[in-house]
Amino acid sequence: MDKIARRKFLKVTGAGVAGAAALSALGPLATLVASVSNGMLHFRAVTGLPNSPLPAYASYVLEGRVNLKTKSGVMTRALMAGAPEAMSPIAFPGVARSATVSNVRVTDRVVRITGRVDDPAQLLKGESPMAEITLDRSKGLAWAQFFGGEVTMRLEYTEI
Amino acid sequence: MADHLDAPGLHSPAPGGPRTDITDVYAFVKPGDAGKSILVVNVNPLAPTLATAFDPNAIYELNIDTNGDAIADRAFRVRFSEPAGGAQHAVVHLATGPQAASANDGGAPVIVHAPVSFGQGATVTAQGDYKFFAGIRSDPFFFDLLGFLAGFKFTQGDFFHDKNVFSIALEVPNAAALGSHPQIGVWARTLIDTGHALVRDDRMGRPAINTVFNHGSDKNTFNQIDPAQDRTAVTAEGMTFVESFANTLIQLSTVGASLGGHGAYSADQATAIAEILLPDILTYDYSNPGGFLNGRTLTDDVINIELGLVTNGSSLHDDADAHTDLLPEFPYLGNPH
Repeated sequence: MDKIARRKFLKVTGAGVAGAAALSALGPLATLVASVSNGMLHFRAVTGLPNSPLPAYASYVLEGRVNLKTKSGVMTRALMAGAPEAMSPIAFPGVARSATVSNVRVTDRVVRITGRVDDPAQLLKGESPMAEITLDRSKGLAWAQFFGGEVTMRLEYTEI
Repeated sequence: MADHLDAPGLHSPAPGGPRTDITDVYAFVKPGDAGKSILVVNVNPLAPTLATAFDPNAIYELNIDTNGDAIADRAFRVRFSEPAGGAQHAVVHLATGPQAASANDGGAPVIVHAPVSFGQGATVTAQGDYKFFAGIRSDPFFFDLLGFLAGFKFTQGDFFHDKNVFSIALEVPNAAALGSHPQIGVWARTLIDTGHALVRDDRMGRPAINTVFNHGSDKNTFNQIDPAQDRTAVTAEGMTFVESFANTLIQLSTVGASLGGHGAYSADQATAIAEILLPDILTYDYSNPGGFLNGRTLTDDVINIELGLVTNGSSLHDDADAHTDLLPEFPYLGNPH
């Protein structure tokens, strides 16, 4: 498919300015990342949907930049065309969200991040205004909601 | 996701992009005239977000198999001019025999200089016994995509209710255009003319085949082989597509068992169904006005039919209904959103 600019993609997805800022700060996909530096946690979690063992058609991507000390930050989520191993820059419209972090709980290497979707007008039927993700860096996994179902995601990270 | 964005990240480099990404294929008897058929191939999912015109370097094909050997005996080939000044024009050739069977640009012209519709109106070109339309239209496909991705939790309704595509529609005389034997097979293919070769880009017969059954790079492989190879070509894992489809059917029917289905398919059952699904050709009897699995009309609920099949008789269904914006006459596809 045609490559489209990352900024254009964010415009297409409706991720918003906050999401764009967060994503652009995270850098290229190959180096991403859940890294901790100066109390800042950057993460990216990805899973193919539908979940295995069925062939994945799309990729669900959650990214965030969270200050663990102030328990603040931003998370974004998007649904991209293509399975994770062949993800395209094409986002399905109407699904992308940005959320402002409202709480962070850290237990050992498990981090539970809670936020609220910035634009409630974007919410679809039955979609929660809350955004939550649980990161287990020891297992390299994350868990989040996708339209009524919990999905297990691969957490990519690197220490800085 | 009948075939929308079926292999979006696999092209390197992307030869055609969304302009040649087939989303759906339809074949049905013309309402009120049993002597004619309507053939439709839609491309460019989410139009005009990703692309705003047809690809002037592409050949858009509607292939017809008249004798059941999964090889094209007739091929309608549509090419478009370079977009200029907000306009684009199409020419349609009809190739027959060996010329239809191979990848080339040949055939006798049946439609020339047909304008593409970029706005609300549908400009129809009628020449001889044929009618032709090309342009942006409301996407007639309906499906709770998000519910499917969430693991069959169908609560979100029709993802495609406000989406557009670029449509190519032909009204053709049955016997003269499709052959004297009414039982035919139909599939669409897009080819990219690189100046040195014609490169296969996408193809589709029945809905939700490549998107649902094929894994990873197999999606791209599947697009680049001909239907006659569907039962013998091998996947990246070294098994045939029939074996791969059978495995997926067993997995889907296992899921279906918890949703009221009759249990997981046996290997023999799954293989038998896989051999119905392959080759990926839309079977169509133009003497029979019934819809899918005989051809496909714009309102056939193909997803619910296929959900019942792949989950071995579960009552699983989404709540997406056929679109109500269809036109009463050719090209039948609704005005764009």
